[in-house]
Amino acid sequence: MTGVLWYHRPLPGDEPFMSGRAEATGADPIPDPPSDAIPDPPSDAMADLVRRIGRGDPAAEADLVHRFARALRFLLSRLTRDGALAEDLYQETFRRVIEKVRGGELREPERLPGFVCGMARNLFLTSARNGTRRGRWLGDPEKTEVAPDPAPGQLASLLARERAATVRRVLADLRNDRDREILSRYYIAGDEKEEIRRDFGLSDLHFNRVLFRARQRYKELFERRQAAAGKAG
Amino acid sequence: MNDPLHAVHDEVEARDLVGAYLAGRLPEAERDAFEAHYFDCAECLEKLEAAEGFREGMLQVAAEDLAKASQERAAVGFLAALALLSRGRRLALAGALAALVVLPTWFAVRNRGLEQQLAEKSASTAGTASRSAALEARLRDVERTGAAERRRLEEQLAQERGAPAPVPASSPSPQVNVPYFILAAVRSGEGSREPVNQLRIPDRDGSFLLAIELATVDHPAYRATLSGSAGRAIWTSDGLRPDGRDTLVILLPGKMLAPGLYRLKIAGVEKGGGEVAVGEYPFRVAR
Repeated sequence: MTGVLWYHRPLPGDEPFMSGRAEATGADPIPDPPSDAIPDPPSDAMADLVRRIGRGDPAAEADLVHRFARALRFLLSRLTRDGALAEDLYQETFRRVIEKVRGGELREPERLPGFVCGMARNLFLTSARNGTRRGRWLGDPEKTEVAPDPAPGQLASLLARERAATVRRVLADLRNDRDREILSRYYIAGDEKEEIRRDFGLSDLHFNRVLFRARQRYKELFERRQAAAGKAG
Repeated sequence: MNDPLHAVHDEVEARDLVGAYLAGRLPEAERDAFEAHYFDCAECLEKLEAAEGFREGMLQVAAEDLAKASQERAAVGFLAALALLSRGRRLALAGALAALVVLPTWFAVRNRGLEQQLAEKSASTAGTASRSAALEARLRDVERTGAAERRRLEEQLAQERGAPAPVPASSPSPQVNVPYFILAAVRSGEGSREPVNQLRIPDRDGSFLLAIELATVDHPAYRATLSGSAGRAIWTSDGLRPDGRDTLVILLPGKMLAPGLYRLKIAGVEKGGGEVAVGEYPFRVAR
């Protein structure tokens, strides 16, 4: 199966859900949301949320943040690889989404998730084009009062060590060297999946299963460690 | 199965869309659609978080192992020199060194004692001149013996230093005919072609050398970054300086690179921390 099941064809007369004007701030036009959208999320709830935000209901804004915060943090942390920048963009994304929804610029409420992540990606691209805060400081230290600390925070370092310890456990639990080598080549060496499959004579499904098993085991162990740490704390 | 979300999740699993998304291998339209999906799907978001955590954990493990290996190599530098001497030779060397320090002191003390005796005897009686002469002769003998002993010990030490020490069984054996590759840089625009640098590494357990002739040596230091075919950095090293032939020579363990495409980027690092691209060296590893 090669198709993508969640896409639906746009219906004739579908309106773009967002205008493509450039903003006065220099940000790019908001990109059109994926036209091949996912199966609609419960559209009544989404429509209600958009309607309430449009009315200026603060509780609705809190609901919006609650609903998308985790995914937005995940996306921004992947895009930026910089905790401070991700936090800035996180705030800015919600600020602009709320502003635009209030202004009635989101015409298809069921596309709100795509709208939020499109906005985040767009803000990230603008930020990358203008240079990061650290990059700007390196360019001209006189212009900025405080240089951001490039070192990862204590929490990030702790998490990185936790992840590494859990991965070591997963690798130790693997029953054969072949799986260990597959994981190393895929995740560390960045080899193409097809190349690895060819070298080991694996089907697509079999290869995916190796990755899936390892990730699943990692998830279980990591959650167990987190729970144990929570109890100890 | 009419539940569209169920069908979506079947598709996500069958095509490993989570892995493909994290590896940046989804076409833009699919990537946007998947993002819009997981923004409102806790199940897919959880899968993504776990997969991303695992991927980062793998990279962290690799970084930790590499750092540990570097530290061990540095420590082994000094210890290996000592370990190259057998226990017996180490004891002999220690004894010789101790003798070199102790014997001259002993002779000096003894010498002073004899001089004193000589002076006392000379002063007390002139008739002891013959005994005094004998004492002087004895003193000269002792000094000669001391000098000869010292020469003998010095020769022994020199021999110990010069002699090839037996290699203990536990130390790594020397590698002969280590594969050596001189990497050619690519001009811009040639990035997508099959690299001209083809590295056939026969032995996974051995090491191999990469030599990079730098076109410019204007920078105080250089940074090397080795990336896999997906562009992810595998190894980075800072503060590198070329040798007398304007070449950076890097020794890599064979098991570090699985067969595939790699790219080594060399950048000049300025004193202020600024970075200037110096050259890119794509290569393919084969076995």
